[in-house]
Amino acid sequence: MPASPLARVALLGLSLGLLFPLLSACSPGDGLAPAFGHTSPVYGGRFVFAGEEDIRTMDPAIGYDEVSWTVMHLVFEQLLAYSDPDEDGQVHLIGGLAEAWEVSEDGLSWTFHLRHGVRFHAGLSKGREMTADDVIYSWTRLFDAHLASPGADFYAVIQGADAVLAGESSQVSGLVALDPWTVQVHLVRHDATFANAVAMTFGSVVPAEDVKDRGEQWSFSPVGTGPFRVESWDIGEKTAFTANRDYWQPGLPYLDEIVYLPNYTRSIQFLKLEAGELDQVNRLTSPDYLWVRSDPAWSQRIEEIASVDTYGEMLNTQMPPFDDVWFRRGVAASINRDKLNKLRNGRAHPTVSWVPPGLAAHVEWDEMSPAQRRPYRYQRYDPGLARQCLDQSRYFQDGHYTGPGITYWALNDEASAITSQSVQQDLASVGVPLDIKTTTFPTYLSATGQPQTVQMAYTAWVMDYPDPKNFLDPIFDCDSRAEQNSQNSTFYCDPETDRLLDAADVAVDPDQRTALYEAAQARIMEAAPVVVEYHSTSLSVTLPVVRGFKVHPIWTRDMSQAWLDVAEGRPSP
Amino acid sequence: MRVGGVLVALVLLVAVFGPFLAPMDPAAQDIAAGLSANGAPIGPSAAHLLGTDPLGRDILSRLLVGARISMLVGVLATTIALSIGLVVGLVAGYFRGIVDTIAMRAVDVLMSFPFLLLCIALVAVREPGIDNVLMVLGLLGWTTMARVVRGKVLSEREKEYVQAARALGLGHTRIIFRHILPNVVGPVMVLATLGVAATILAESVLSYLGLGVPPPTPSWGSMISEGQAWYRLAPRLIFVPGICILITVLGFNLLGEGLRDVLDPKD
Amino acid sequence: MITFVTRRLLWAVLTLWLVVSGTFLLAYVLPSSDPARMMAGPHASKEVVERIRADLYLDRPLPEQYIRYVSHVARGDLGRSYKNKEPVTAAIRRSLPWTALIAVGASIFQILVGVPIGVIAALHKRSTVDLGAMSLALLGISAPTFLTGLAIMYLFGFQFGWFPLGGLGDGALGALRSAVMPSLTLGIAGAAYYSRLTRGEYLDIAQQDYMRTARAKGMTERRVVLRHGLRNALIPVLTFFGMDLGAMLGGAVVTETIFAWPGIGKLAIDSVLQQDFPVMLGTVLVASIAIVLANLLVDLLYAWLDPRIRLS
Repeated sequence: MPASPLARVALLGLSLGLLFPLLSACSPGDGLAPAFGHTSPVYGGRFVFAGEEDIRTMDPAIGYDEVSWTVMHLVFEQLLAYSDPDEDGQVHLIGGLAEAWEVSEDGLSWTFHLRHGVRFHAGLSKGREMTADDVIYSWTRLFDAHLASPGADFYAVIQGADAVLAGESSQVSGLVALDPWTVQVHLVRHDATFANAVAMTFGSVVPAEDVKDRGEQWSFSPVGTGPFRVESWDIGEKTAFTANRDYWQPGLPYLDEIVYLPNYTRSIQFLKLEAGELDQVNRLTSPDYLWVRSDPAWSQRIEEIASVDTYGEMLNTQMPPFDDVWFRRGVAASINRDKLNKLRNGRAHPTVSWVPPGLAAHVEWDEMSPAQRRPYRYQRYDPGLARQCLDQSRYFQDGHYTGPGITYWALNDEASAITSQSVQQDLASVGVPLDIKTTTFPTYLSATGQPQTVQMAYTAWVMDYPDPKNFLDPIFDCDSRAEQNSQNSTFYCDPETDRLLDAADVAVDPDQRTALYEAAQARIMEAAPVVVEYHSTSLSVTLPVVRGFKVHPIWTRDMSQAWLDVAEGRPSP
Repeated sequence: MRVGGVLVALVLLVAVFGPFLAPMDPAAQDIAAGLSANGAPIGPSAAHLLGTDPLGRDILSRLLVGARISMLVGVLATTIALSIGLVVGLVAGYFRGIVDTIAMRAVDVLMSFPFLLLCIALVAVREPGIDNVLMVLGLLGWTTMARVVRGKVLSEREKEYVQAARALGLGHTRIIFRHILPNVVGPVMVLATLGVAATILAESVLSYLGLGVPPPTPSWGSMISEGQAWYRLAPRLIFVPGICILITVLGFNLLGEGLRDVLDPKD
Repeated sequence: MITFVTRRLLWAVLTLWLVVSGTFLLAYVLPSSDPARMMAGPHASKEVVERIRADLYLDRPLPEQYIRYVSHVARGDLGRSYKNKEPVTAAIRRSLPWTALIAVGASIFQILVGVPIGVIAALHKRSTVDLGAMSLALLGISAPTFLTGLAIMYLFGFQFGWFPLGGLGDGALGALRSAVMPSLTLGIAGAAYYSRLTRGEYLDIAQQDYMRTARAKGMTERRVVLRHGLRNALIPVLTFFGMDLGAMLGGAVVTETIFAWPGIGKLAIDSVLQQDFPVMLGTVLVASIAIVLANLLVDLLYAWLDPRIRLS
């Protein structure tokens, strides 16, 4: 058959397919374009960053995840704020919307003096000035049972909060506006962490008329007092924030616009950074991390700080074989933490302390006396000790495991897959067989919150606020156990631990408080309801033009003072 | 067809004997020698012919054992689908009437669900694992089979030999299984072979999403999922299992096509 | 004809009701987990979770929840997302056009590439061209979507830098440019399938009497191919095109995940993995409506073409 006309049609189709690319080239490596060399901040420009998920919500009373906190930090402010991290990576509480505050001797009464001249972004509130009534409205809102704010837990020590939560009152008796610039708060008991609660995004000050009138629509374009206002939120596409030029801190912000792009995997985020499509990334896959570390140009762009978190395994103390303390200790001593660190390319710092570094009550093995070390010795890789403990447990006979089958609950992500398989191999080497069960996060959350369901699971705790209480009370207190949605997933319950935690909670003297938390942690580590493995590393890779960007232990990324060292900046206004 | 047959035979052989051929335990992590000092998988060497994965395990061994999972899921799930589809199709086509209506409406409804999404949702709300993957793919995959078999039976039952069998007073079961079944085997075999290919693909997607066979059991889909971040430093982590999936699915597709041509010669 | 159409329409509605009920079962009866727990976040206390349960009506008896849901759906109200409180209808409205864009892109690719290849292969039956084209097509069918997607992104997005690495670009042109790679990914398997389908149908038809008659009448080969062969070969291809929607949506789930494409496939998979059940029910419902409508259309087309079907 001769070359048919259809062959030509087909060729045309093929070439159309290949020509269709609306060619415009940007070669890989554009991201490393050199900076311009300004020494003082340049105004203007757009900062683009991305994440694996979209923002869940921008209602500060609801948002309780990393991305939401990062973007809400741009839009909202609280009475107290966290400083930039100091040289040791520590952050401190400083004045935010309150320029000064006092606490009464008994710690029950807090007085906040508000800053004058702080204005809301435009909106129904039309840029009016923030007052004490706004603070009281914003905090009262947390106790609206219909809103179901997770923040209510942190503010529950305020007098009269219970009544509002129960629907018996619409006003919190413990919140009083002494005058438009002074808020007084009465607590039912001393709470050393109340200042931390005030600095959480839950305590953001929002304008009543805006929230009330716009109803369900409000959280899609909320209004606050922060350096950036929400320009647009196209769910699943991008969220844009523009500079608040009426911001109360003179000269800030520098950037014109910040854009958040959702749904990119870590690999693609890094590719986009290399192409200059993003300005910063803060999660690197293992290979990208090794690549950055080995590339002379990129390795100068990486910044690492210790992350305030702890990773390990939870052991259900009510379920065999983990109802035997010797078995738990044996398991904890069998896990090779250095191996985990190697699998994470040196980014997982082995630890014996559930409370992470940077917080009071954190301990380092190398800095402890032999006596202090005793309770922590199970939380180190020690195969000899592990065998001893296991042999002492009632689930080992003549060196053989005789207990029930063990199922390890892992998540369907890369980190959990690596940890679970590494742990499986470690336990196999001491004769304890393990089945791994992979689940999605919702199933994992529900299951670990139920008694008699999960024997052993991958676990991690990332801080809400920098205080040891956050790492101990919610997880190891007897009262945190429940028949459903139990936060205490190990169902560990020890009256002495509870007594120490309760005493620490009301201790006014900081040193005494720390000592009590140290004692509580030592007791918990010795009972080993958790296997403590490592603290992770927060890292950030920025383009050479990015200045003033901060890796922040609370907000993860802080762009509020960032600027771009580019040629076409504007002079300061 | 010959190529397809050879490919399928090859993969089947590997699936059966792979675990014996594997040079190492596919779950054994060699942290000291199987990973570089900074924790990167090492490339092909005498000890590890195809290199190691991010946990320091031998890729060749994992591939060989992984073949079994792919084939097990592909063949077993298709067998489940085949059995249901065959019975439903035979019964519906033979008895017609209300049975037929109900069966075909059920097929319609099942076919109105987005298949892959339904599979993912079912596995996600239950729990990932080989039994659930098998069950979901098997219990949802029978609809096409039922439709095709029914169509074939509808035309067969009017033929003389069936009429004759009826006239002789033979029982329905006997007529269905002894007389009609042999005549629908052809298209069923074609569909089944193609079905294995489709099921292996579906399993690889589930494993890729982390919803397949739980670790440390290797599956080609999960090997890609675990290795995909290494596209730059160790692209073999993606390509090697990827090519395995490709070859296997290709083999079944070729075989299915070949069978169709033999059983139903057109050109 | 009218009774036929009415019957088919009624059946379509019944099917959709069964689909909604089936998905409801899947979401609220089968799982042992609690969506309120997921929405509250991993650090929330049990009291907060209880409040969220009450707010989402999850504390009511299941039959009550079911009746409430179905009656809302009947009124066109699909509820709000558990996750961000966005109305489900709004979420679907914003993501459907993006999926439609890459689906259209994929279809253009499928037809522009698949059909010509199929015809060429048929014209050169049993030659090297045929063998090559069909092997290529089989390869295209046999490759998992996530593998082709990753390869396309790495090659065209990163190595060549022709297209942005996923997501939507700025403006209409940006969106079009960003749509190329996902469309290609979605279309490759389809193009391969269409080329095989076209080849088969074409060979079938080439043996039919009217083709021989046309040739005997002295029509040029070009006219024979274009006027009779292709047109008749296209009917089953177009039919399949309608029924292909379900498969397309499956492909969209994977493609949109890889390319961070804000379409309905990404919406669906996220809702499944995060147990955002109102969104999950909504996306399944919309997908089913599309499939049911496509089948309805095909049935009507057949009935119109072949009067005998109407009578049965």
